Amino acid sequence: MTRIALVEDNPDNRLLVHAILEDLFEIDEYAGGAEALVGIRTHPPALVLLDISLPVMDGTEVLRHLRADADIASLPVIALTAHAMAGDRERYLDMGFDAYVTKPIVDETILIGEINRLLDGNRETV
Amino acid sequence: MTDLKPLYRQAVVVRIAEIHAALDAGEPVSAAREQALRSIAHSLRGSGGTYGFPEVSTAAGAVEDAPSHDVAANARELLLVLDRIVSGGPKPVNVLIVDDDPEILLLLTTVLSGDGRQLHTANSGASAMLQFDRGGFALVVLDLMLPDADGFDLLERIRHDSRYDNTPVLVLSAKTTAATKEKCEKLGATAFFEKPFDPDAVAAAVVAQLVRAADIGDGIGDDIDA
Repeated sequence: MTRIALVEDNPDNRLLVHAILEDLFEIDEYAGGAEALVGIRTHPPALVLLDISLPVMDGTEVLRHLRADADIASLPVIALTAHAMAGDRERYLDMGFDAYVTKPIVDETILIGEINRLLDGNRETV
Repeated sequence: MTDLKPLYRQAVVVRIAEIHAALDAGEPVSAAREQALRSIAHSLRGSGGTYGFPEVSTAAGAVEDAPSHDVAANARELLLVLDRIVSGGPKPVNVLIVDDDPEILLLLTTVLSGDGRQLHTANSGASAMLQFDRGGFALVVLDLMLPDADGFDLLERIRHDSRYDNTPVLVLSAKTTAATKEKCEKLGATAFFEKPFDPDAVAAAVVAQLVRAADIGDGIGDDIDA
């Protein structure tokens, strides 16, 4: 089963994403940016779901660290965010996220669709 | 689409117990218990919106950001919101607003928002079609002029779907000729509003139609499926 990493500080939100994805993927869960960076470097997943509003080190900073490490720089990373302002998508894609999924996550097919799109894209370019 | 809300109800039960534990030790709330309440609220603020319960995020935010002397009172308000979620409460009525103008969508979502109403928006014919297919709308507000679709076609499509037999469709249009109105009527529109429209009049018509539909018992509280 393909392994993906979920970086989300809110336990109830991890529960939600886990419930949506558990039948499809193996999920490594991280509650904070620092522990995620350690875990992802040690056990690189096929894709990272990264909450933007993390305490201490926010998602954009975690992304910068990921992109700066040659071993994991090319991992597809999806931003999970409650900020749904006009222009956000472009802003996050410009930062280097590969996709952007907004909360509420009431339609799980959007999240699953984005994950599969990126995983398929990666397979084609390998 | 899976209904993820029952999952949240399970999580909320735990948070309710935590809030009670912090409140029930009596008042004034100690600094440690105040911190615990803010921490629980912080978590709920982040999860409510994620699961589609923005009212939880709002009520939790009022606890997290409250001055010390208001934390307990606001936490009790939050408990009321959480209790409603756990008990399921009355199912919201789904209303679909179709218009390609973001300013009109914003205006309509503002005037039409209300307790027990879940507003959905579509800014194109394609998006509207997708949402119609999911079903479950108690009322549709439809702009006739969309960039990728003819509003008449959408109206016809709604009327040909047996799930929407009695669903009121309020048409908004800048096309105000008698022929347009007549065609809308013929295709089964419930009401016609000329643009620019009076938002309060549209809101009043929406409420009146929903009350009427509730009396008939159609489309109210239906789940939207994928």
